[in-house]
Amino acid sequence: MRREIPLLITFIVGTALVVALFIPHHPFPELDGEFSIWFDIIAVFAFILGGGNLLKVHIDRIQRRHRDRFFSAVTIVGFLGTLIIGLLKFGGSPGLKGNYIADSNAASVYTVADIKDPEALVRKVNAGHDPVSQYLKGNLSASTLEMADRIEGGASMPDPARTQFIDELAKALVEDLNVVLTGGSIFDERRFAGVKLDRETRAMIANPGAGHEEGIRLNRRLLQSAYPDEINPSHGTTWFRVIYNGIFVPLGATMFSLLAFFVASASYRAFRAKTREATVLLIAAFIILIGRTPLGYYLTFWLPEPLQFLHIPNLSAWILSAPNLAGQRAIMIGIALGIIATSLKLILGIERGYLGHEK
Amino acid sequence: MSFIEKMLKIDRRIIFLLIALAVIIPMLLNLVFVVRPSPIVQTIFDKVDGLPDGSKVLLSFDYGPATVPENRPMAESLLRHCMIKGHRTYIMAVWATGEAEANISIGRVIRTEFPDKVYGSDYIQLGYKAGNQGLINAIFTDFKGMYTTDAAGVDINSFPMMADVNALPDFDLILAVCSGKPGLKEWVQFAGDRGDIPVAGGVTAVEAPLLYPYYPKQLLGLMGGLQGAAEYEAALVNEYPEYRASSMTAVKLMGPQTVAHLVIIFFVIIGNVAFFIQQRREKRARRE
Repeated sequence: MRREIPLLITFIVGTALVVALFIPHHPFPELDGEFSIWFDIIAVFAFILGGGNLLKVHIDRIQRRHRDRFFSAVTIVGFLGTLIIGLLKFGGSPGLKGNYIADSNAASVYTVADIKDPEALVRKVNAGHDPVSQYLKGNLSASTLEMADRIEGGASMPDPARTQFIDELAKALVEDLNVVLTGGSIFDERRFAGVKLDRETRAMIANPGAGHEEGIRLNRRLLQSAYPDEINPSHGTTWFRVIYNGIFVPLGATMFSLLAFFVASASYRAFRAKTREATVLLIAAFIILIGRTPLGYYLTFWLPEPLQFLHIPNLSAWILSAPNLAGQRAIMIGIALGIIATSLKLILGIERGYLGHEK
Repeated sequence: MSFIEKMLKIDRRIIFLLIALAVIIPMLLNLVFVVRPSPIVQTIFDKVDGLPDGSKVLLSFDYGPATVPENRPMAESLLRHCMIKGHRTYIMAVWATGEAEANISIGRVIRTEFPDKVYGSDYIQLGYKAGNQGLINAIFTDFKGMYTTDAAGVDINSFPMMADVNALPDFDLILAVCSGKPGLKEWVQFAGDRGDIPVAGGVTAVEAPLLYPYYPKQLLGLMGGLQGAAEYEAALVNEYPEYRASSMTAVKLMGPQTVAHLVIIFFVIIGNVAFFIQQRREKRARRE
């Protein structure tokens, strides 16, 4: 049964999807989407299996004292470190659910998660007891002020409606505050006279950056200082972002950049016009190499209209859209036929390699 | 060792050094060439530019940090263009690394250049979902079935711009910036062809020749490598010169790439000339 059931599932799913393509009536058109969602769920489990397999292979290598065991140790530490830091979301805003806001390199505007206590914030602003609140009140929209008045009026609401109201209030506040954040510096000596500003904020005031982002960052710090109990501090970045930017990005860039050196060296050694075919390939490569740079234009732009087909960018485009296209199509048709043959073998149970070896 | 033999066996360290210099010196000298958009890139620009304001554009970030120099200028030019035109932009990723790249571009383009754009109304970051082409297949019929929240975990139905999006055919245009599989080919096969949705985008230079069979009927246009990105930037700057300062990343990088290409051609010519001379000498020696 261990082999028959997977074979049966493969047969039913494979046949159903092929049939679904030809029957445009319920439930067949939906089958494809439904099966794709199942596939996506299985794909998530594949991540877990992949991670488990990675650990198994590298722990085994360390246990066997393989000569590359130190690389395996680095792999395990890197994998587990990134996984734990990513899952637990170290750093970033406390209200962060995903990694969207804190992961940005640029100064971020507010999201709902940044407003710790929308009700308290709107009460404080609406009361206008201090210059900052008076300033903010003047920048709140009519609908937000109306909401603030409803709170001040002590409107009683049953719980689900109240939660919804607070959510809407938070969204309205975020919208209004973001206009303030992005609308130039809000700092004024008299306005912030009663607000305790930390050393970093004072330094930013003393040396304001010229960019728009610096202005947003300073405004956020000022508002956070004025409303420490109502607005969450901006933590800048997550540790996951630090790993991504500090390790993953440079390593990825290095690996890809090395290709340029190896391509140059390999081209010099291997690209020899030893045969007629190799010569044609070499000429085509030169045209593409020059044609894919602005130099191609400068070299032959002067050619008269009847000879424009020899203009290097035109030649380069022709190579890509005629001989290259023909070759690619032939390869693609070959691959498609291969996929059809393999799929039929899988559906009919002739190809059983995916079931693993029988013990 | 004769001169010809030396030319046939140039130490690879010399080649590496010259390639490094070919990249570094033009960068230091700020060597910038004028780039002209080719028809295959101009069609993408014209499509994005010609869509009415408020059109729904899906922009997929399907690449990782390794190909950032080629892919990021493409993605940011497309994002910038969508923002300029006021298109509702739905940002997602079929690659795990794409989400982080999208976040970086959102910060660099939208928050910096378009701070008045409202999240959830003008643009949304949907993030990454596992499943590769299976994901594209699934969102084709049921978008919100896969994306129940945005990347920050907020209910998808709470965003105004998601109100009239239920499946991929609801989009006016699909743009994908890719560096492998799943990539633009999968977007064409599983979304564009199936739903008759216009698909366009950019890929790395290595991958571009593989996509020509789809152009122009199944693939609206294609940005191939850094040159493709530079051509889109040129098209954008031609139409919107006020964005010149932020839209010249790829154009500036074309200087080093051009010189590096020339160095490679130089070495290939040297190798071939030396090879022919040596062959002729060997033939002559055999005859004697």
